[in-house]
Amino acid sequence: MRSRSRLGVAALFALGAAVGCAARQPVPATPCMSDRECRAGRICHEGRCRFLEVVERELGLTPGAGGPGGSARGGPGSSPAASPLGADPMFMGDAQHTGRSAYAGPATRPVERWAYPTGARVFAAPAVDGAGRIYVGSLDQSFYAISPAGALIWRFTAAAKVYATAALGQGGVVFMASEDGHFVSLSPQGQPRFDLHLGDGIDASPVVAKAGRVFVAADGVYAFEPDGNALWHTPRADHLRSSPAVHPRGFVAVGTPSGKVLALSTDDGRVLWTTDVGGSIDGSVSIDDAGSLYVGTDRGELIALDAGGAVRWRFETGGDIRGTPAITRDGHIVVGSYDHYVYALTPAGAVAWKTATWGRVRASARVDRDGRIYIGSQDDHLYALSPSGEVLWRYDLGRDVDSTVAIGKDGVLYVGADDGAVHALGAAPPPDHSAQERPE
Amino acid sequence: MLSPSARAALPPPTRDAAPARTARAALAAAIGALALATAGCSCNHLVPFGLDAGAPTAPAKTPGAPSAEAPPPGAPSTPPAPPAQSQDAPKAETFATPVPQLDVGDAKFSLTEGGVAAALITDLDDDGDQDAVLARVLPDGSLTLLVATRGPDGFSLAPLATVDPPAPDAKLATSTSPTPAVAPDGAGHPSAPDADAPVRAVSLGPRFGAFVARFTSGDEALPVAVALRLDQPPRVLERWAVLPADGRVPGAVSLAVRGADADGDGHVDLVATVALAPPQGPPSSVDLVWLDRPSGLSLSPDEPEQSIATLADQARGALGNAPGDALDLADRALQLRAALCASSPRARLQVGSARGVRCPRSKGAALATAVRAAALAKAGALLDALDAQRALDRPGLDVTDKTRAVVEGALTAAAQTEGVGLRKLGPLAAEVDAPLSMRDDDTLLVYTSPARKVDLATGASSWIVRQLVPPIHDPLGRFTVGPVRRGCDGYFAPIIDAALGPQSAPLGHALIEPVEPPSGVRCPPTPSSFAQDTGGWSLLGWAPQGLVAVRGAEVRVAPLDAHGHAAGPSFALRSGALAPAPIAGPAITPDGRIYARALPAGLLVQTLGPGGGARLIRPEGWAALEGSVEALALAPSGRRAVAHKGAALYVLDW
Repeated sequence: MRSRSRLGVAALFALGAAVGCAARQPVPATPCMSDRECRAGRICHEGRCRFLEVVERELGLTPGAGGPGGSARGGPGSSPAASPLGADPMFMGDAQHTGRSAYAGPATRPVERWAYPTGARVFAAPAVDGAGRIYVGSLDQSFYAISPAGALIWRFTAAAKVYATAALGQGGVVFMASEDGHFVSLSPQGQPRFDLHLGDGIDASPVVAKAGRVFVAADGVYAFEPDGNALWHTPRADHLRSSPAVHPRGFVAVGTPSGKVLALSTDDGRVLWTTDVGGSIDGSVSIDDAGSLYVGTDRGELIALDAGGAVRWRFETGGDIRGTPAITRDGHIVVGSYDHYVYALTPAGAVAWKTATWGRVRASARVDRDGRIYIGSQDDHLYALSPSGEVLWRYDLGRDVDSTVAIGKDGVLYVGADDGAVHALGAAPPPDHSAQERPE
Repeated sequence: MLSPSARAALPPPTRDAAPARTARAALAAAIGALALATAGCSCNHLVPFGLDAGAPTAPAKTPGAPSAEAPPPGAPSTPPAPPAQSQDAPKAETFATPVPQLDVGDAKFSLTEGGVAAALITDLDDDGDQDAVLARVLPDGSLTLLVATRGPDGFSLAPLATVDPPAPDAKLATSTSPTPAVAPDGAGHPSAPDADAPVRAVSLGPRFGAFVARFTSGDEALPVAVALRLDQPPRVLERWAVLPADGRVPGAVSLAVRGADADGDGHVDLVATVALAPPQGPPSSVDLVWLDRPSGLSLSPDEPEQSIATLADQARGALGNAPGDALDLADRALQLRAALCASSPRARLQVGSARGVRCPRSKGAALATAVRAAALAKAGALLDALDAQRALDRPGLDVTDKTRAVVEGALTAAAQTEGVGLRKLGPLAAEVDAPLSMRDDDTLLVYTSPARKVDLATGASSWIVRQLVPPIHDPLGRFTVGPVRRGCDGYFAPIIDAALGPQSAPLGHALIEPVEPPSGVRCPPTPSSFAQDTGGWSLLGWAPQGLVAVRGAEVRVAPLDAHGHAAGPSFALRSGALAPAPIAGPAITPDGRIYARALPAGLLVQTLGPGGGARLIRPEGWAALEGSVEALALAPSGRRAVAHKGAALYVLDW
């Protein structure tokens, strides 16, 4: 009997060792640029072929909730899923411009982890990849890749100001655009992949949709493949400042300075509908989970449209709306106005709350995993609001905050300001008790 | 401007033809009457007039025909004998508003179309009667010169020349001055106040006259002057025109013509006074003299060089106490040269059909260039001073060692010497032609074969067995570059496999600055004259975005992709912008903010980005060190450099 129990224990040890060894042995990850380069059911995540389940586990996703090239969209009350393109891979976090993040930002007043100075105002929102690297353009005509610790990784010199937020594609490629009309793609190492000169300056942020297609607004709307191959261009006479939003029904929606919302087929750019909303549109259209569209105008109106372009309701604020509306988990639409207020409206168009700041609100709001809202104001502060609009904290950045916040995986907020710096604000570290009561 | 067909119709010259020098000089040959070449000219030939007895001012029987005074009753019917040849200067008549009728001596002359804006009245054919050369303005604003010769049957009219505007959109100015009345008795009338007249007649001397026409293009005044020899037939001696400023030397240019015996030979010479009033600062003027020679008109070589040299000397004199004034004076000298000389693509003066006058190699312009560079150095604008210094190598300047010393002295004086340390790097002898780089502030790499690593604190060196990537390389160390060369597309740097070395065949090239080959030069194949032409470009390094090169104050980026292929056109970094980073290069910090270049006067350290600027670092004893700087490495901190100068390595700290 004793010998059999020893044998069993040995077998158990052997089994444990085998399992341990198998667990410890790393799966070789091959480099890649797209899912097509990966085999055996793996996806291309951050430049490496990896099993989907492993990636989902790392990102905290429910298995099967999302696939490559897109983020899972749950119904009201569900947590927004992380994007495989990065922690905060494009303007407003996703191609629908919901502004929702999969990560939680600071609930209490943060501390500044670092501030990276550029030579001029930072108007663009930072984009953050899966490794926490921050990508942002400045009006000093440079585009920066910054490490999570605030050190420069690389700098790309554009020949004009960079207003637009960058978008991150598969494999960590970067899509950025400058005021002189250059649409540029860079490798994760900052080397140019392509440089296309479009017909007009580019102020609006490129958007990366499923399958990696990139939409850019300039003198109309362009669609490109990730390698820069142009798919279509729907021209417009006016200079578009509105970043295209991708609707699940297969069209992109964009606002125009002449006061129109256009819906263009993602396949070929055909104009599906045009709605005159009556005021110039500087911000972008955002799309909620039910497919409704929201947009602000310089007449101070927030307008809701259905997927067919019909106006559902209008809400008038006291000043221009230049930002892009954000959509909270419970479907509220959050937007700032030049009347100094931040508004939250119900999907029916009723005011849920409004919170005053001391300056015009040009930036767009971001909504973290827990429903907290972060938004900058021209009163020099970055605000954190509760889901009910209560001011949780505000942080003085010294100059106007027109840039829109990005939220990293670790909950650090990244935002530009008119002081020319990119600021990283994170939760204050817990007090360090390790130096106390040292034994003699 | 004489049209080609009109020029072809000229009779042979009556004086010895001048040897062909330039197209302008050929015009100086004697010319006869010209046939009108412009379509639509409706001038009259041999217009008869009727004698109107007893009424000297009676209108001609044919409408619009010229009239003449009738002979008094009882006068002999035979025409009077022609008087002796007149040496009088012509009478110049100018009208603020063109008039249809003109008193010519004791007769009247009328035009059927257009009006007389100005006239030169003299006895062209020495027959005792006054004739006239007229400047006629037609209703469409065109300006032609006509010869009205009085004969027994009245005035005959012949075309002389069309005065074309100096720019396609230029028009003859109109005057707001009141029109002077034509005296009813035909005794002539006072000359109109001519400053605002669209055309002025100018009497230059016996047998010489000129018309100065005031053309305008927008707000710009573009005068045109035509000088005439008033023989029978009259001929155009020279034409001057002021070209628009668009793309040329800016400022208002005025033109005046007069006659003077400039060389004291008893003959009237033509003097064209050209004045340039820049947008800022006082005007400069110069008298260009065309000497009347038996072979024709000959441009005196004295000007504009004398005027340029005078301004340059004044600039040199002001350099010590008033460098700002020196800079202004130097600029005036250079602008004058640029506005007048044929060698300048920005010349504003057209003479005949040629742009600019022929100017010799200029000492004055060379001195002005040197003073300009020195003044900029004194003002702390070091990069602009270096750009200006480089201009001394341009063709057309007669540069002496003394001239160059003006700049060198200023650069030396502008150098920072305090707080700059210099030490020789131990017993290590410098290798010839080995690049240098600094791994960190205390470690020098010398790219000999094999390479060496030198501890700057101790001077100790050790060999590096593995092959080093050259100092300028792509982010992955696979490619490097060769020196900048000139090709048919412009200035480029060849891309080379880093492992195979500089002797291997280039894999491609990065175009730093696109430049067309000079006109008339066939390219390809690349001319041999391009072999040593680097365009002044130096390579700073290779960043993820591509190659970065510098020349004077200009920094250019040539984008390259991960394979070393061109990834877009090269572009110049705007003032205040930062270079791409991180950048691998021996004389630029990895963050792309500071770079250094060796100059004879010291080390130029340039900080890029907002608030950046240039400093000239010159340690004590630097000038005494033999040789020039063959290689330079800048520490990552931007506050230390190692230079291979002469036969040794030196460490500079600041």
